[in-house]
Amino acid sequence: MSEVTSDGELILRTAGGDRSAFDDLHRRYARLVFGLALRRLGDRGRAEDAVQETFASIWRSAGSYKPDRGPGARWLYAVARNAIVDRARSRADVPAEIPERAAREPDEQGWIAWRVHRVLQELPDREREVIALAYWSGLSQSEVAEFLGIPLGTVKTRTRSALAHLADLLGEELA
Amino acid sequence: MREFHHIVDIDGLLPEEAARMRLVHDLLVEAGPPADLPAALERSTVPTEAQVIDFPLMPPRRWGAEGIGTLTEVLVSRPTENEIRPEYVAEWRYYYSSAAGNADLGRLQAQFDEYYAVLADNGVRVSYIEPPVPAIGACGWIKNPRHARPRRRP
Repeated sequence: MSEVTSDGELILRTAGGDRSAFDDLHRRYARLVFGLALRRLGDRGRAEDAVQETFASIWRSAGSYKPDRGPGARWLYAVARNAIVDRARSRADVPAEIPERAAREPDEQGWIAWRVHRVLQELPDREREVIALAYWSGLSQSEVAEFLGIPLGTVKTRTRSALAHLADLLGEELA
Repeated sequence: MREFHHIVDIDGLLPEEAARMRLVHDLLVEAGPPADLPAALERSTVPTEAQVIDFPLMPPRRWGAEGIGTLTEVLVSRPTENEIRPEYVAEWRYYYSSAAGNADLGRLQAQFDEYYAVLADNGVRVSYIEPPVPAIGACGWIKNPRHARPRRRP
């Protein structure tokens, strides 16, 4: 489950013009940026634009990332948040109102979703699958077992294992 | 909202393990489901690399008409491939070009040369400035880099 390359290292390589590192960052974070933008902007089209702007900013300003100032995930979150805020303030896009929920949403909540969704990507598929079904599909554990065609006990074991892995990966967020 | 005990079987777990899982549970609930990535965003797109060009420094003097009189000197450049890029045909409105297509570069150059020759034949000193080819700026291809404004004296 451990990653070969950290986010910070990918950012540094991107700063040097490494396109494969940039692609890796995109694979890891495009969905997260889109989710964050969608929560803040409430419009899929504008959220897509914000994702494009975020990655353009990452490509252009990766050189400003300083590893000693924090992990890469925090830097990426800040870049994404700035791009989304810019998009929200853009006069050209004024007609779409910022949803009340998005306006009220504190920064920390966005960061939590960002971190949780990121570490979910690191779970083995079979663990991520039971988490997604249990939390976001509304299925009971018996229904998850039936859906996946596995014993109920296996669902319980995988769920506990997944939560334990997530707890390890989330570390400081649990503190 | 799904309760912790509906999702996680804590039988046999130590209290601190159960508490840790509950924290994760709370974060999962707070985070909500991940968004589905639109197909258009599935592949990364590296922003177009802009070629940074150094525009030639203009001579420290004013160019252009400064009054009515005999024309003595002009600053010119010959048309180049900068004028006939395929982007101008595809996006002719953006580039203030023509839907009819690009000009015939050879003919264009010949016409400009002819004009410069007329100037020279009439005693005008013709100074040439060569634009970089290709020329691209922050907003796209630069069609007429020779039209860049000369630096004004303070």
